Amino acid sequence: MENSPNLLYKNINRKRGIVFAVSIFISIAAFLADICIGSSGMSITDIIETLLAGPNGETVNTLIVWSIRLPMTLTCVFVGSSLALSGLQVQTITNNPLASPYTLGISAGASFGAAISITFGFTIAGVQWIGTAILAFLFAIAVSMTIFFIGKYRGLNTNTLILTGIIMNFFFTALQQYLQYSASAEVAQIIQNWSFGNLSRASWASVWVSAGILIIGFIILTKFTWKLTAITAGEERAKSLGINVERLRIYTFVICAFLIAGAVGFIGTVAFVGLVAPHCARLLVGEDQRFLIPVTTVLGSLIMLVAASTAKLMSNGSMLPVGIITSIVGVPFLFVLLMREGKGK
Amino acid sequence: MIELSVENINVNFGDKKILNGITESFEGGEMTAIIGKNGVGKTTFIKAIAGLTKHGGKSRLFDNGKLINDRNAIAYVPQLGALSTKLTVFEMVLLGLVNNLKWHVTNEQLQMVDDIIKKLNLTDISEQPFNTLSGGQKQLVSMAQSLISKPKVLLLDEPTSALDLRHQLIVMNLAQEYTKETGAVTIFVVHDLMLASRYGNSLLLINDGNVKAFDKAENVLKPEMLENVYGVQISVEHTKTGFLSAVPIKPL
Repeated sequence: MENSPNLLYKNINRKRGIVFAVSIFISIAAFLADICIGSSGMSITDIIETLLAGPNGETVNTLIVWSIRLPMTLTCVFVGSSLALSGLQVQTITNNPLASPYTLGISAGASFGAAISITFGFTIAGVQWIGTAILAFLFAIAVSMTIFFIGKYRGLNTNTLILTGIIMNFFFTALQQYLQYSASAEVAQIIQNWSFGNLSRASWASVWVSAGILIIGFIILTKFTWKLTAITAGEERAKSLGINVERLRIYTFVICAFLIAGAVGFIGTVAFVGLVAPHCARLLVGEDQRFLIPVTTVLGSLIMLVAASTAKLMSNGSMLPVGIITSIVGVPFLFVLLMREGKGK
Repeated sequence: MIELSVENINVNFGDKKILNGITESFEGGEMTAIIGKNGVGKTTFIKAIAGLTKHGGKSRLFDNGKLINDRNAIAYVPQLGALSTKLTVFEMVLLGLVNNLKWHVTNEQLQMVDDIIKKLNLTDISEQPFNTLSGGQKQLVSMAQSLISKPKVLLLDEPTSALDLRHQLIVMNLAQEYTKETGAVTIFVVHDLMLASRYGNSLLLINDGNVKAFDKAENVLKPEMLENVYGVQISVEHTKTGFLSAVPIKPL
């Protein structure tokens, strides 16, 4: 009886639950570590005291923790989670392990949209970040829809997908370079920083917006867990099980575009988090989206936190853009995936 | 008594006519083999019945004379393709219930998966990822995924292609057993004429989008008819064990 498939399945799910709990725990540790790392040399007890004292203190520590470090660290958490979650879902709906916001060029589109807004001071109701986020979203959705239609008429095999990504990345990089070239030195510097993903632009506004989008996106996606899981069992099979695959793809692309815009619209392009996190999560908890969605999300924030802490430690005070770190780690990862994919075919 | 009746099923892909209005009726508890050359619309026909391809005409399902309008009553098992999913066997079978699954999977649902996995002798591999299975095992898992929702119509697209002899028989026996037990209508597309006659209560021969013949095996597997349709010289004989065997000799 102990070999009953039913019990084995429950056992495996229990282990997946434990993996989730452990990953949350490690992320919290990384979160605290990231707040502690900085040029002012505060001790952990100082930090915890300041955190517990709330944002209304008068000390220098309060200013450092509540106005500088905490927004940065929280932005890290939500940006990492959003990129990871959208990476997972574009992989799911394109049925391709090499897909991610960055490799498909969706991040590049969103980043360009945001750059336009910064260059021309585009505001909505007098608020710049709304304009930035909306332009980032519009470009993210434009790239997503292009990919959707290419997929619909040509099919999304690895070649088409990677080539589409390269084209999108070339195109938007060129446009961004043009903006940079024609902008004033000051704006050009901002755009330059943009293409690396720079946390120094983090603020409480970026925290609230990216958190809001993440939470809404997360909740909607969890409603689709079983359908998304069924898509990983093959498009034709999912259709034969009665799932409207096309509609699910469109919904998911729109949610991902929001997530990507929320992440990229504030700190710029952060490469590869959306590729690495879902793969690690899959290795840990398998393909069941009930576990895959939460674990991917948590791992995304963990990767970003580690990258941000590393960036702070390496640059010793000045802000090394976090996107540089994720790229250095992400490129070899993509290489390994490509080699594996090639062998599989 | 289950009955599937199709009326004037026609399908076009762009300007190309694939099926020109097929009208037939299929009885429950019986298996129908669909045979014909490549590209004549065999798969398209069962996909049309499953509602997976745009088509004209009607496909209606009756249970004791009562019209059934439940999309879930019809299960289509696609041909085994290159599917790289790492979902486990248990999860693949569970997905057969996808339309009724909530965040919390009920014990009753888990028990249903358990039962069918045991019945199909998949217990030892229940936690293995799908992409590591052999072709025969994959086909059995696919069948389990479809059978778990107790469909009234079972549509199998080349269920035995790429399987060894033993697994061909295991898969087809499973379909046969299910058909007899539940009185379901089972339609399978197959290239192997011996399997068609061995398992099909009747054979539906499609040629150029039309039904060329729909009858018992001995009336469909006639050398003249097959030569005409397949363009090969063929020898049809009864074996000592009482089965019909069609041996292709040479292309004409």
